[in-house]
Order: sequence, then structure tokens, then C-alpha cells
Amino acid sequence: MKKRLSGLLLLATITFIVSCDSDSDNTFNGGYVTLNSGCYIVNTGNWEGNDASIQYCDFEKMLATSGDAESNIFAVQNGTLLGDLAQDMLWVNDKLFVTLSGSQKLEVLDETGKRLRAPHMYTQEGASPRMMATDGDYVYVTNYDGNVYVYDTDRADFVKKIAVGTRPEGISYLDGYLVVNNSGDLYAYNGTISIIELATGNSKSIELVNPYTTSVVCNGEVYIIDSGNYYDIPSMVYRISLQDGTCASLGFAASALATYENTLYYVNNAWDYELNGYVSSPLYAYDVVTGEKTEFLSAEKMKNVNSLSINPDNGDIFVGYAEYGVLGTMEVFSINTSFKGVFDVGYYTAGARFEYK
Amino acid sequence: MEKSKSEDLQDESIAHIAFEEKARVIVLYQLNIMRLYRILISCITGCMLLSASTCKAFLQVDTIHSMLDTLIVSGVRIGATHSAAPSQQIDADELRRLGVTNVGDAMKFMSGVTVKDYGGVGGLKTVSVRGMGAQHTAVFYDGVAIGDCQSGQVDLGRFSTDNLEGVQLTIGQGNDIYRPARVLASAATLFVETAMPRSNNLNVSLCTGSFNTYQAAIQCGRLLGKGWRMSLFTDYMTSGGKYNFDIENLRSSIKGKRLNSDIEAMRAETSFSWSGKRSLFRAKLYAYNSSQGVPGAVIVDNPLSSERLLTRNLFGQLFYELQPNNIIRMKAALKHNYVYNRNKQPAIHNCNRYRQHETDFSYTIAMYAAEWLSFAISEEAFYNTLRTSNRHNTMSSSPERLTILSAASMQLSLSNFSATASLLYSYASEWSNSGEVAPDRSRFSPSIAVAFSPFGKGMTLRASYKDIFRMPTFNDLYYRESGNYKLRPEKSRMFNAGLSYSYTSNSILKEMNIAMDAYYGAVKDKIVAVPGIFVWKMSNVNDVRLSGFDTNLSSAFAVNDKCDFKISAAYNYMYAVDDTEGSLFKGHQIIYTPRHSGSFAASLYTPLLDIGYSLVWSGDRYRLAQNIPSTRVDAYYDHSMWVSHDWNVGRGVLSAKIDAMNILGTNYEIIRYYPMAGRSLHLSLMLKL
Repeated sequence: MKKRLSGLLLLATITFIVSCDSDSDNTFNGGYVTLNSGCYIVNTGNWEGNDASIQYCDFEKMLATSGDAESNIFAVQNGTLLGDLAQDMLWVNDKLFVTLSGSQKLEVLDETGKRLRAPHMYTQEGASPRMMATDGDYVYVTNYDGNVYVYDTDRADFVKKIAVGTRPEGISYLDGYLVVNNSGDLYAYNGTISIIELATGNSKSIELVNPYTTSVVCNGEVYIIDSGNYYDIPSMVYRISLQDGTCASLGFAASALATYENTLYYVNNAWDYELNGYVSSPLYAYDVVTGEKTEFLSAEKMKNVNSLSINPDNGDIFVGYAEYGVLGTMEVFSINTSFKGVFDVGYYTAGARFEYK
Repeated sequence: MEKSKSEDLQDESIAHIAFEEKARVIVLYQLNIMRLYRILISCITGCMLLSASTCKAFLQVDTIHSMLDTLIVSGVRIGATHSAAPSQQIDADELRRLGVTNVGDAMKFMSGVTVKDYGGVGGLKTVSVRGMGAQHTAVFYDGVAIGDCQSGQVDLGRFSTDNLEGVQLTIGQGNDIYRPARVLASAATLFVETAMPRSNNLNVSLCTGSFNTYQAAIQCGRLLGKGWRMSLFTDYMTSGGKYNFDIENLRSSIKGKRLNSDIEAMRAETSFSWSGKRSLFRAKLYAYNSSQGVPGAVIVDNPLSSERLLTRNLFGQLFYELQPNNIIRMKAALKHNYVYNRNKQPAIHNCNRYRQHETDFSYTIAMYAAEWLSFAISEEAFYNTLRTSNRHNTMSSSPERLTILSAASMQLSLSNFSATASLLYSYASEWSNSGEVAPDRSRFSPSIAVAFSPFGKGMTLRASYKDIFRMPTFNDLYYRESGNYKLRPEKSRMFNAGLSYSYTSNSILKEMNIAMDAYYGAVKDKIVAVPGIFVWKMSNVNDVRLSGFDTNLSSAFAVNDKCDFKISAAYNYMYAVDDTEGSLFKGHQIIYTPRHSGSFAASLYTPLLDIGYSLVWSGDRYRLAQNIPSTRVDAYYDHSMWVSHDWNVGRGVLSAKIDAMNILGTNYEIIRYYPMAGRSLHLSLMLKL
């Protein structure tokens, strides 16, 4: 994906009103946009709001297109709303894959946001596509019906499904294995981790409390967040051992986690009854090799963090913030903690997404 | 590991001891906090006795029949009262004239009211008065409060208008001090009154309409002698509920058929009343059962809907009123209400079951010490429980709440002036056999109202102030993960000033009523959900500022000896904005609250036909706190017409009526992505014997 794309005239002319503030500098004025240096941002939207959205962020200007449901790149390209509750997005083989749990579909788009396919993932009993992982050829989609659906990017269709645990959420692919967070029955906190060897179909299971949407690969290992029970069992970050089928706690709580090289970056946004609100921890950096933990950004800079994403090419950290009933914002910091930019995003952003390489 | 039986028993006994300890603490606390209140009561009672002993009985002798008349709403036009607070009534004839079938739809014609209607035959309908939220309006059914401790809101679509005597909405503090304490404890009160027979009668009605809707109802009234009367009402309704919709989706549209919106509902209620010379007794039993689909919002690219809701409601109430002499008047009511909900959500493999109980006792004593002076005290205690029996408890505890409301009121009433002052003491205590519980809450809430009629009858100027708080609901406090047991109650204050004017004559203009009110108020610590990565949490984060005005007009004309013409119109302006310090959207209009709204109705009554037209109109609203074009929900207009005729059949009357609703056929949305049904027809036949 190192080519310069044109044909985004409509996109550029209609939607490139970018909005971190009212400065005119924040408006793209070109007749097209380059996609050789940027990423996408996916926003979940409001429940029953049909206002999920996708934005394109230009690294050079560190500004993004509109996150509004009616003028985001999908809406402009297709003339229709993206749908309800975008959970995850992947950028693989010049295509964008977006799961929408409310609309219960997988959207497959080209890089301009134009729809290629939109296979439904619902049954009469209901289903809810959640998170994705890829090995470059296949896209693995967790679904609340207890399966991982395998989408062949060449054949442009689902080719099989793999049974996992109850209400699967986060997923990672690593060295021929899938690691799946099964969040368990509603309010039961009986979640598990499924480790599936794709070649043989063999699987192992690890009992946890509430492994949720976050699963990342760092330094050849998988790390996940167990959300706890939101009451007396706190969230916890675990390292998963593929060979042993075991997990080890790293001893710290997190609500958002992202990785760059050998380091986990995380923040914990927890409810404080005394302060009557969510309170964020500082953004920490944890070296998985040395076990050293350092404060990367102070807690004052972390407001109501809703997502954490890192550009794998240069380590830029994208921090998404969400407030009730209002479009969110995203701040970008470089790997040396310097501030690089801020822009508006859609409702309850799920984070930035970078090209799979 | 499962607990042993002995451990369970131990837990139970600990819970029991904890409960008893809690009860003792409550009593002691009550004793202390009530001391101040009792001093106040003592003062008022002393005044009452002194006045009673020194004054002649100025109160006109009431017969019990006139007492009954004060309990029901009869024949009063919209906005046509001389209350110290805005009070709107719609009687049975008006309900019929407006072509509405349930109380929720009737409320759309009232000023200052925003009805949240999720569409469809069985769609949820709740009201928010002057932007304060559904939880601030208390609903009384035949004089006894219908509470919902779980969500705090009552589905008004559930109450058919077929057997109603009328509905009455009072906003703020009126000048009627002879009311239950819960009336004083609410920012607005809605009274729904069913009809009691004045003679032996039998009414049978059959209805059918669009979307495979069928309804049958029987109402039977009997005078049993020696002052006893009995009424029995039952109705059955079924509807397929499927209707086509076509709503905008940018450059295209979402077209489809509303699925999973069927409903089957059955209701039965029986009432007995006895009226003596100075006393009145009423007993009522009400049962409701419904099974319905919950279609949910129209979701882009997902036509499936599978959520189902089963509702069972059973309540019984006893009411007694006594006027031992011309000075004292008292009433008491006892009610038990049971609600069962089963909510199946196959899409997320979940099924929730909730059981609510509420036991409520109230009494009110009024003393008309002099022609110009009256007092009242009222107390109400209600006890709520909520239990869930789903596989994985959706509530973090099994909450129970005792609420005690005590109020003292005083009224000065001169020939053309009245002033009413009340002080309400509210106390709530909660406990549970597991989990954290909210701390006890108490508050004194004053209210005052004055009314002045400068020209005697006709025009009345009025002003009132009311200070109220509402407890968080059990969902707010204890819903698993999102509940917050440390929530503070919402507090609201409302000032109202206005005038009403009524005119009656024997000329062509038989009657005219005008009411105009301006208001200013605020809601503090409004409870909203705050987003988090894992879960959303209920929190006191918002303040709301409210101001606006309501206007009403209704007139009746005698076209000639046989023809009458009636019109009514309402316009409301509501500036209800977020006022939270530091909020990103301070000054934005709060969600689903139109700045402009109104209604209009006209009807012509002739020997040949009766014909009518009604319009409900609402301006733009916003579906989210941030007011931007993409969150704007378009204005809507709902035009309906009806035509009816009556025939004398033997000793009875046969009425036929055709309603054409939403005649423009637009799938307008009151709640975004909940399209209303398009054009529909409704044919009803009623035989009155």
C-alpha cells in the first residue's frame, strides 16, 4: 500500500472538515488525499444510534476526516450509514474489515471506504461479531454465537468457523495459534481463554474471570486484559503461554493496552466512588523483557481514556477520549512523549488502526 | 464451591439480624429527625384546634356525593381550572374526541409534556413534564400511586382510555391541600380515574383496525343498593403490529416492515364502592397480562429482532374517606402492587426476570377551621422490593426500600385570593441481604402557591414554587456493573406564574378557557450514564436549567340548537438546557425535548354525524446531549380525523366510530430509529345499555 490514491474527490470535498478546534488550518483543501501516510480510526457509536463511523488520519498534518456518522468516509463513499456499534477494524491486503455488533455484519471495504462486501453474521438466535485478528491471508472474527469465523481474503468469503468458548471477544494470531478471550456468560464472570492450534485444531482452555476485548502480541507472546467483575475483582493483565496453556499475571490492572516493540503501554481507567467518576492512571510503559515499569504520561494528561493504539512504524501513541453523548477526541503523542496533535473523532472511539504488514 | 445449607441459614440469620438492627436504627433516626417535623405538626394541630373551638363551622355541608365528585375528573376542559398551579384535565368525552386509545397518546395533547413514544401498538410511552424526566411525574390510578421502583417510569400506553372518567395533570404545587403526600413529593402528578357507575349499565365495545388489531371490552356497572356500587371491566387486545416503514438513510433510505412488534394483552379490573352520608369506601382489584415483541430500533442492515417481554401486573387497593362533621375530612388508602417482567434477549443469550412489590399506606386529614383557613396533614409510607431470578443476577443486590413521606399544609382562602404553603419531609432507607446499599436519605421540601382572582370569577392569576427531590431508581443504584449505590437524589426546583381565564354564556360562544403559564426551574445532580471502556456507570453529573411557557385555549360554540363546535389548541416553548459547569455541551437543549411543540383539535357535533380533526406537532429535537446536525431528530406532525354516529337501539345506544390516524402516512420518529406507523384506520362499535 505505497501508492497514491486518487478518486477521493467526493471524500475530500465533502468530509475533510476536521475539527479539533475551529482553526481553518484544520481543513483539508486538496482535491484528493494521500493514503501513503496515515491510518484509520474506527468509532463504535451509540447503541441503537446507527452512528458508527470510520475516519482517515493523515500523519503529516496529524488531522482526521470527519467522525460524524453522516459525513465519515464510509457515509460519503456509499451514501448510507455504516451501521450500529462498530467493534473492531483491520487493514489487510488493501482492504478494510469492520465488525458491527449491532448491525451484525462484517463490512469489507476498499481503502477509500467503498463497500466491497457486507456479509451478515446473524442468525435467528442472534449473534454479534466482535473482534478480529489476521495472519495476512485470513481474517478471524469472534462471534457471540461461540465461534471464530474464518474469512478468506482471496476468496472473499467465510470458509469455516471454529468453536471456542462462551461470548468470545478479543483475539490474537501468533505462530499458527489463535488465542481467544471468551468473556463467559453474562454477569457470571466465568470467562476462559481458548488456545487453538490452527493446523491440528487442538485447543487448550484457561479459566479466568472476564477476559474482554483486549488481546495483543508483544515480543512473540500474547497479552490480554481480564476485566474482573467491576466490583471486588480488579482488572488484570496476563501473559498467555501458548505451549503450556497457562497464563501468568503481570500484577497490574489496565483498561486499555497497546504494544510497540518490547513494551506494553497501558492505562487503567477505574470508577472512583468517592470522586463520583472515572479516574485514569498515568500512561505506563512496561518492558516485557526486563519487567521495568515507567510512567510515560502523567495522569493529568489522561482524561476519560476510551482507547489506546500505537503506530507500529514509529511508536506514535493515539489516545482516544470519550464523554457521554458527545463526539470524542483523540490525542497523539510521539514515542518520546511529545504532543503531536489532537482531533475530533466519532462517538466512543475504538481506536486507530494501522496497516497489517 | 457451593455453600452448604447451614451456611445459607447462617447468612439468612445474619441478614435477618442486620435487618432488625437496621430497622432499629431507622426507627431511632426517624424519632430524631421527626422531632422537628412533629413540632411543626403540633403547631398546625394547635392552630387547628384553636380555630375549631373558636370558630363556627364555616364549611358548607358536603354530601358524600359532592365528595365523590371531587375525586373524579368530570367534564373539565383542557386548561380550564382556577388552580394555583397549571392543571389540565381531559374528560371521557374529550378523550373520545381526540381519538386516543391509551393514556400515553392522550398526554400528547397536554401542555408542557413531552411523550417518549417508541411506536407500535404496544410501544413504551412515558412522559416528561417540562424536561424534568419521566421519574419526576407521579401516576395515580384511582387515587393510589402506581410506582415503579426499578426504572421509575410508568408505561402509560398500558392504560386504555375505554373505561376512564378522565385524566388530570397538575404541574407543580396546586392549591388543593387534601391530597396524598406523594402528590407533594412529585414535580408533576397525573391522575387517571376510572368511571364508577351512576346507574345500572352495560357497555360492550368491539374494535378492529390496521396491522391486524382487534380489541373487545366489556364494562358492567351495577347499583347494588344501600349505597353499594360495583363495576367490572375487562378487555382483550391483540395486534400483529407489523407495519411498513421508510426512513431516511443519507442518500438512500431504510425500507422494511416492523417485525416482532406483536402484542396480546388482557386486562380485568373490578371496583366496589359504598357511599354513606358522610363516608365513602372503594375497593379495587386490577390484573394485567401482556406478551409482546420488543422490536427495538431500526438497525442498518439488521432486520432481525427477537426480544420478547412478558408483563404481569396485579394490584389491589382499599380506600376510605370520612367526613365526620363539617370541619374534619379524612381519607386513607392501602395498596399492594405486584409487577412481574420477563425479558428474553436471544441475541445475547439472556433472559431477565424481575419481580417488584410495593405496599403503600397513606392517610390525609384536612381541617376546615374557618371559611378562610384550612389545614391538612398527610403521611404516606411505601415499601418496595425488587428481586431477580435470572440465571445470573442482573442486580448487584436484592434491594428493599422504605420511604416515608410526611407533609403538613396550610391554606388561607379569601373570596378572591388563596395562599397555600406545604412542607414535605421525605425519608428513605434501603437494605439488602447482599451487596452494598445506598445510605439513608432525608430532606425537607417546601412549596408555596398563591392564586388571585381580581374580578371574582373568570380570571385567576397564580404563582407557585415547589422544591422536590427524587430518589435514584433501583436500576440506577444496583444494576450490575452500571449501578452506583452512592448516587445522590436528583433535586428539582420549579417556579411557575400564570393566569387562567374562563368564560361561559348562553350565546354562540358557550365556553372559552385560556391558560398561560411561564416557568423557571432547575434540576441538580441529574443522573446519567458515564461511559467507560468496560462498562458505563450511573452518575450525578448533570445540571439542567429549565424555562418556558405553556399556552392553552379551548372553546365551545353552539352553532345552532342541534350543532356544537369545539376547538382546543396548545403551544409550548421549552428552553431546557444542560447547565453543568465545565460541560462540553453547556447550553445545549437536553435530549428529546422540543423547544416548540403544540396540538390542535376541532370537532363538530351534528344530528347526522360527529366529525373531528386533531393535530399533534413537535419541533426539532436532539437525540444526544451534543446538539449538532447529525443528532437532530426532525420535527413531526401527526394529523388524525374521526367520524362517528350514535343510534338509539331499544333502551340503549349504539355508537360507531372510524378513526383515521396519521393521515399523511409519514413514518415520523419521536425516538430516533423508532418509526411510527404510517396511515392507519380504526373502526369501533360500542353498545351502551
